[in-house]
Amino acid sequence: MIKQLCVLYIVLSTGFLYAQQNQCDFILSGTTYEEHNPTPLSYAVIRVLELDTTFSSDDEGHYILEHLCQQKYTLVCSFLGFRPDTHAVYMDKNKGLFFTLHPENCELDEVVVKADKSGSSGIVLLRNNDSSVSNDGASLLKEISGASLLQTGNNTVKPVNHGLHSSRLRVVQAGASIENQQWGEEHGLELSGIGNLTLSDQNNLLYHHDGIGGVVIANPHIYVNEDTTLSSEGLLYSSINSNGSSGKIGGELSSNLGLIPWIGMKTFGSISRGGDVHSPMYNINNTGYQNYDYGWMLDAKHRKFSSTLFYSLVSQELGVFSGSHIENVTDFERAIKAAQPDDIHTGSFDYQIEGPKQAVQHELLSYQLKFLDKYELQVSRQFNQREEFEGHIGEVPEVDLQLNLTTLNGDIRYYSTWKNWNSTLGVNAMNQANTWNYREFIPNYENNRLGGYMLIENTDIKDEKYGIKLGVRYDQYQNKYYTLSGNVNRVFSNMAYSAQGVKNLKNNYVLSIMNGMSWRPPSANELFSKGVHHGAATIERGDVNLKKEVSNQSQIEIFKRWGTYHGSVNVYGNYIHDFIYSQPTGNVALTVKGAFPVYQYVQTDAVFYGSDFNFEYEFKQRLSGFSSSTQYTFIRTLDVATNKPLIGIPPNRVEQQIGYQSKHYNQYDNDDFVRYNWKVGAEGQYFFRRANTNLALEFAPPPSSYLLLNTFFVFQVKNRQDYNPVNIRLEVNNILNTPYRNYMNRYRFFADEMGRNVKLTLEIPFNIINRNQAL
Amino acid sequence: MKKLSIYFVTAALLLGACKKDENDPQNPTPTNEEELITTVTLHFYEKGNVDNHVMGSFRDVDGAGGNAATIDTIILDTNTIYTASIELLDESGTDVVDITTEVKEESDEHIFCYEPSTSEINITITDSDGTYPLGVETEWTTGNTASGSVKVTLKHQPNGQKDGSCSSGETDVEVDFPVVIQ
Repeated sequence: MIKQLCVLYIVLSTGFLYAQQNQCDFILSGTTYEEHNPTPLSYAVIRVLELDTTFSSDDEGHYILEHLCQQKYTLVCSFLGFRPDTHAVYMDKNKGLFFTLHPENCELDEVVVKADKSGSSGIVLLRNNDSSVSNDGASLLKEISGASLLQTGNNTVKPVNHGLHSSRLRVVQAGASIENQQWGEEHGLELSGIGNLTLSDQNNLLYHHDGIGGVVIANPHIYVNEDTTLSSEGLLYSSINSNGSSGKIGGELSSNLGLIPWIGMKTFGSISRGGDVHSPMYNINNTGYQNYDYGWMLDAKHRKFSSTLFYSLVSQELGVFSGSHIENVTDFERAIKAAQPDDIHTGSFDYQIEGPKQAVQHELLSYQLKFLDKYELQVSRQFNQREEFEGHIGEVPEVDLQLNLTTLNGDIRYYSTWKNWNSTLGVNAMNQANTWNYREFIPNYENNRLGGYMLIENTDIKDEKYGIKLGVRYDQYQNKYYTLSGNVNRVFSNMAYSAQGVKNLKNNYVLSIMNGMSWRPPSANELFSKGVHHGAATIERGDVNLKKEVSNQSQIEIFKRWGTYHGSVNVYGNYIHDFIYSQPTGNVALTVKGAFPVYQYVQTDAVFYGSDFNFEYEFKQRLSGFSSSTQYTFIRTLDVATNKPLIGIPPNRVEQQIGYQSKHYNQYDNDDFVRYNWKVGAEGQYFFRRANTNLALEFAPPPSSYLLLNTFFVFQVKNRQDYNPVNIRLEVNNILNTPYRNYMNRYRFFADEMGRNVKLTLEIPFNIINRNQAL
Repeated sequence: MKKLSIYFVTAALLLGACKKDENDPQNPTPTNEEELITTVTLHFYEKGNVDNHVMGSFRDVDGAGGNAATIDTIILDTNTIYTASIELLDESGTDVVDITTEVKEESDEHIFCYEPSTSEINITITDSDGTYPLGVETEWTTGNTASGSVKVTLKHQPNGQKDGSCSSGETDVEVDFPVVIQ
């Protein structure tokens, strides 16, 4: 993995001078390079927009363009595996222009609002050096304003964006839409080998139509070139936590194949283990976990085609807090009222994972083949197995529920360009089969979907002053459910569209407007569930006649990025027709364990609206080295039928971080080689009480507001100028050991959240290069 | 071509290694291999007149959710002493499983509690685990005509939690039987 600053430098040379300056006799020449390699890049493709011509640099990376007129020219240099490098040059004399391409795996070292002119105002969060490579996807995402986490205990977290999650937040990895029974709030996110991670507020119709709350895209990548000398690089990391006495070891290794050019391989994996965590005042029993994940990637590139094969397997065994699985309403009410859990659940620390617990395995195989930059085939297969174990303390856990989900997905796409318009046409087919063992909480089913979509984008309207992205998609489902009481067939279909416009305003402000329609069919649990919901002491009843949900959303965002600061503010609204949620009926059902309130899945129209703000600034001159980051997230909801808010919406929050770093932290200047660098920072997070909620539907009132203080210290050691440093990171989270309950933790009724945690992370990158010629 | 063959070979290797679902979606597995208590039955024998046998059951054969449970009303004579015993069954599968024996085997981790709603019923537990009462065997003494209910609770109290009361532990059974004394 190559971490670099994306630096573009233009070297103007006046080497070639002609006495006579003909109107159309200017010469532009130069060399094409790749980042980090003094050897020029051969056969890079250069396109001159004004002339609509394309040529390539020669085998020594040189190019020469003659007979240019006295005007502006825009040149785009590109190469497979690299990001295009665009320059504009005004030819009023002979000039020189060098291109430096950085590989597609170029990772920016800061949180960046992706303000590219193609109009996507998704927020890009890449390997932020202020967080760790070893963090999983959900933890990285919660740093973004507008996003947060939904937790079930400590071991299961999933991302939330603008109040929406689970079936309403689409996750894509390696080109495949992740299918892991995401309807379950207590089902986490099982990803390995994440690569670049982006969160977009707008649905991306290339992958799916159900991104009502947005799309999370994990894009693993490797760097592939024509080199025939073997070179490898990678990263080893390790982290330990004081709270829970947990540890993780993992690594990534990328390599080319040596003798065979244009092939790259990557392998990655990690194992981790943790024991019981503790709140400031007591242990929280049975919250340990034991996870491992591994995977690999095989990339092949050629002038005419590129192909990527990706495989990952994630396996998790997650303890569920023993005091949270209460299968009797009287006990449940008692637990909610108690200040802290019964002593039997706050016993001494151990690593044992007893019942209740979850065991999950998720396997992903994804293949992408692209021809001539025009035709693309994307196929994937996923298998997800979830087991929920019951069992009281001291008993051997028994499997109570097992769900097996197999999903096959395929897309064929056609890319084309006409003037400045890029268009994508695609068709999609999906087949999904679900089976259960032990208990029919949701039935067996076979779902099939067929869809078609068209996306167009123009990034260069009026010289990059405007950008537009439009998309439309239509899908139809044929779903067959094989329940024990008989077969049910349902058909769902709908259109989806998305429209984004970006306008560059004065003073580096950018205005982005989005509007779109997404939809999702009801999930199997919403249609069919019958029975006690794991640990919630309620009986949930599905409704087989539920209709699809359709959402209309709009967002206006203004952002500005200028030198040392960038900020953004947005306002959004999401009107969801036939929003599905679980509502108490007021009735109880008698079970052998007592009377349980019965909840029924119903539909209503719901509105989600809110605003996010963030501002980051790097100080200069006397305060040079200091940086500040401020965020505010605000959201409210409304159930149109009852005129009351919904429940389960993340609380509003304000975050402020101050950092101070040494001069060359995260920099790769060629001039100064500084071996040691560091950064220290502190952050305050204030979570407001979730006041905008419907108390009649809540099991217990939302917890009060609270302030969390976190600190971090990063120490970097560099061995060579252009290589990644060794990172040592020390974080102390909840440094004040504040006891608090998190409204977005489904187990907030039973125990406080984790107290102080000291985390130490070590990241060691390495390069193994075997070159014939010295650099 | 060399390159292509590498892909195919690797792909083939992997597909063989993929995890698979053993079940067929179109044939759902018959229910429940886990143990459920679906049936709670109280048997009453008049002390000294065993021909007078009364019983009442709570039954929820398909488990929580699904079809509604049924509860019998227990009808007892006035001013009579009954020897009673409780029986727990799992009737959800093809074979009936007797759960009561398990509770008796783990008597030091279980306790039954009986709470009548009327003073015309007096219940005492007659068995024990050696230290604390168990509650599988009880003696019921009825008074005059009345109607009310008796709440029967089974608590699972592992790890030495058991203290003779029903205030702690996990609830495995909580059934309110309507009782009529006539």
